Parts: sequence; structure tokens; C-alpha cells
Amino acid sequence: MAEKQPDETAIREYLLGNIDPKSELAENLDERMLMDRDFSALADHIEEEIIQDYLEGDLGPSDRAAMERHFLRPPERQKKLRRAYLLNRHLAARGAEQEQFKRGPVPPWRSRLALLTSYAGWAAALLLMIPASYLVNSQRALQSEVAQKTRDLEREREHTASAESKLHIALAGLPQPVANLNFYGQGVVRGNRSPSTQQIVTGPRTLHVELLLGGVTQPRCQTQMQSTAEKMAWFSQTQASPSGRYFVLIFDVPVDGIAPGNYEFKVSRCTSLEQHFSFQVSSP
Amino acid sequence: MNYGNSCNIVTAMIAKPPPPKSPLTAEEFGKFLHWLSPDDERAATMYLEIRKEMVKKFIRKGCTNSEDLTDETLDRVARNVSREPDRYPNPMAYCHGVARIVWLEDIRKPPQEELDPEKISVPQQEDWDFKECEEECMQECVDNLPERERHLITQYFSFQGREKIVVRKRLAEGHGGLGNLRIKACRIRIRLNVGLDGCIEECINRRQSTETR
Repeated sequence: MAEKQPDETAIREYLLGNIDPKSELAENLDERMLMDRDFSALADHIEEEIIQDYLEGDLGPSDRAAMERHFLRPPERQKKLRRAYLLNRHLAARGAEQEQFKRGPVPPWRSRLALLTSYAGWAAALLLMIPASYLVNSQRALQSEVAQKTRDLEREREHTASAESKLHIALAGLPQPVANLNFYGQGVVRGNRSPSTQQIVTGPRTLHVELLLGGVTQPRCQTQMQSTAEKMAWFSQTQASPSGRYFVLIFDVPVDGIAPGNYEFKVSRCTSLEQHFSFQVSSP
Repeated sequence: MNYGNSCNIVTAMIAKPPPPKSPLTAEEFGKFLHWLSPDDERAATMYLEIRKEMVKKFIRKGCTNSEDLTDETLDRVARNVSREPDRYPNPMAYCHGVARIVWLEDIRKPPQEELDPEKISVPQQEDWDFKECEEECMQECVDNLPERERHLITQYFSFQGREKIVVRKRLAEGHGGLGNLRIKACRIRIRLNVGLDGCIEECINRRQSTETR
């Protein structure tokens, strides 16, 4: 493992474009990656690690810049980044479901077992301490109480079902919670010269975004939404459509669960210069 | 074909126009495959393997048109070995040499000009299809992982901030430390990605065949 470390560092630097591609070292690494399967697998592994570090915000500023300047140039890598981002989201959702399941009600067999153990304990105690007649009376009282509780519970369930149904009807009547953001230049919102303010309320919400771009060199853009701390909140590849002398990027962003704060859309790859569009998300 | 200035450096060398190309003939390609191996099936497998590695090579160099550069490299290799098969004993080494020349030619090309908006058509339909397949396939591929791996990767990627650090430390105790845990999670992801590629391709093909019926 210790022997591999210099190789790993060299591969990482090479993949991030921090080694002169015409140098002997670059040539040597390039040849080894092609001729040596293990070395190639190591390069794949490091590539995956770089992508994860980028998504988790673990790259330092210079590596992050190198990633965006060099590593993400090939469309295949952009696709890989997008896929990794989606996979993380999928795994996080699965994890959350599992956690919820763990905190859910006790499985029936476990509760029955607990109940039986408890009954056996009580019965033994009663046999020792209370006359048999008192035991019978107590059982009758208990049965009656259980029957009463069951009826109460049924009434409660009916009440809840009715309330849920009313809630569904009320929610169905509400408009689709889609908010629009339209930019005609970097950081400038149509009809307003300050960054837009987006109110987030509970329930599903989508941002419908339209960006007008100039200086487009190719139609496929890499678009990401990130917080001011450069934590990525959303990432996608979007196709710019011609619109007169300019290009327009139209896309939807699911924003449910996004914390209030300052964000920006960063558009790259398709323009000669990276373009930033700032906006703000705030609580109601 | 336009190979553009797709790689990440610009040299000061004077651009030479590439020699005029004629399409690779079936005969030249047949000889190339025979050079790889006299066994047809093995030759085809070797060709696909070399092609895959060449594409990877150009991507690792930061090129934006790796497929085109690979095709150009393999066309040149095929042409040359069809003329003098005995001169080049090691296919991968020879491909590496030719790939370097193709790459050097490519980085000498002038930078791309801005696109004319009126000349661009925007196909979007397949992107939507792909996204749907992606989600189904992620579900399927993660479900198909062995229980222990599924648990590891789900836990590894489920948390944020401080909770993430705590969960990963706890997981690391059962996997030989944080370094080993990171390597394991990474390997599972690489395998998942390979599985996803196949699953997504199959899903898209299935949908397309359903639509054409």
C-alpha cells in the first residue's frame, strides 16, 4: 500500500491536469495506464474518488478549480459526475427510508413475545399472592377495558381517515407549486436589477429556470446550482436552444428540502467564459 | 470529421494540415483484425477492448472528442498494419504511439469559434427517456448488491455534515479503518456504474422497441 502512494498521487495530479501533458512523467503514466491493467484500474478508482470528493465538497480550492478547468472537460466525465450525483441522491433516499423503517412500530412477533412474557410474569405473581376469585374478576375487568379501548381506537381511526380524506381534497385544489426564475444576463433578473428572492414553503416545489446566454460555443451546457459555500445542490447537463442572436437554457430544478440561503446557477462548458446567475432562497 | 482543439493545452507549434484521408476499406480492416488475432472471435474482442482503452486514454488526457480521436487512431493503425503486419509486434504499444501523434496534431488545431445559434438543432426527447431509465436502474442495481455491500454503500452515502462523520467512523470499525472503508465504497460504486450502463442501455432498447410496436 505504501509503495502505491506515489503512483496514486501522480495519477491524481495527472487526472486533474496538474502535470504538463507533454512531460516525460505524463507520457510514462499515460503508457502505463494503457499497458498495465492494474494501473488502469487504479486510475479508474482515483477518478471515482475525485468525483466523490468534488460532490462532497472535500476538494481544496486549487483542486476544485483544476477539476472544473480540466477534469470535467470531456462530456463523458460530465455524464459521470451527473450520474454520481444522482446515485448519491438515490442512496441517501434509500438510507432515509431505512432509518424511518427502523424507528417504526415494533414488529408484531416481538410485541406478542413481550406481551406473553409479561402475562406469564403477572400470572405467576397473582397465583402466589391473590385468591383465584379475585383473579377471575380482574380478568373480566381487563377484558371489558380492552373491548372499550378497541372501540375507542376504531372511532379514532375513522376520524383520522375522514380528516386525511379532507386534507387530500384540500391539497388537490391548491395550484402546482412552481416558481419561475428568468435571467437575461449574469445576476440580473428580468424586470428587476437585484437578485430574485425565492420563498420556500413546505411541500414539493420546483424552480422553472430560463437563462439567456451569450458567447455560446457549443449547445451542451453543464449547469449546477450551488450555495455561496460552493456546496452543490443540483447538477445537470442542459441543452441550450437558439433564441434570436442568443441562446436560452430552460430547465426545472426540484427544490424541496433545500435550505434557505444564497445560491447561484453556474453555467459552463457551452460558453467561452463560465457564467453565474445569483438568487436567494428564504423561508416564508 | 472535425477534431477541433479539444485537448487542454495549446502548443506554439505551427499547425500542419493532416494528410488527406481516405476511408478505411473492408479489406484493410479485415487484415487489421487478423493482425490482432487469427481467431475471428478473439480478434473482435481484442478490437473492442483496445477501443475502450483508447477512449479512456483520451478522456484521461482531458479531450472532449475522445471517440473521434480513437477512431482516427485505429483507422491509421489499421491502414499501416494492413500494409506491413510484421513490422508491429505489440498492438497496444503501437496504438499508444499512434494515439500520441493523433493527440499532438489535435492540440495544434486552432480554438473553436463561437457557434451560430441558427445552425443548431436541439434534440431533447432521449434525455427524458434516459432519466427515467436511470432511476429504475439505480433501484435495480442497488437491490442486486449483496446485503453487506448494499448496507455499506447506503449508510456511507446517506448522511451529511457531522452525522456523516459519525456514521462513517462507526462503519469503519467493521471495515478495517476509514481508508479501507473509502476504498470499499469506491469499488462498489465502480461496479454499480458498470451495472448501470448495461441496465440503462437495455431499458432504453426495451422502451424503444415497445414504442415502435
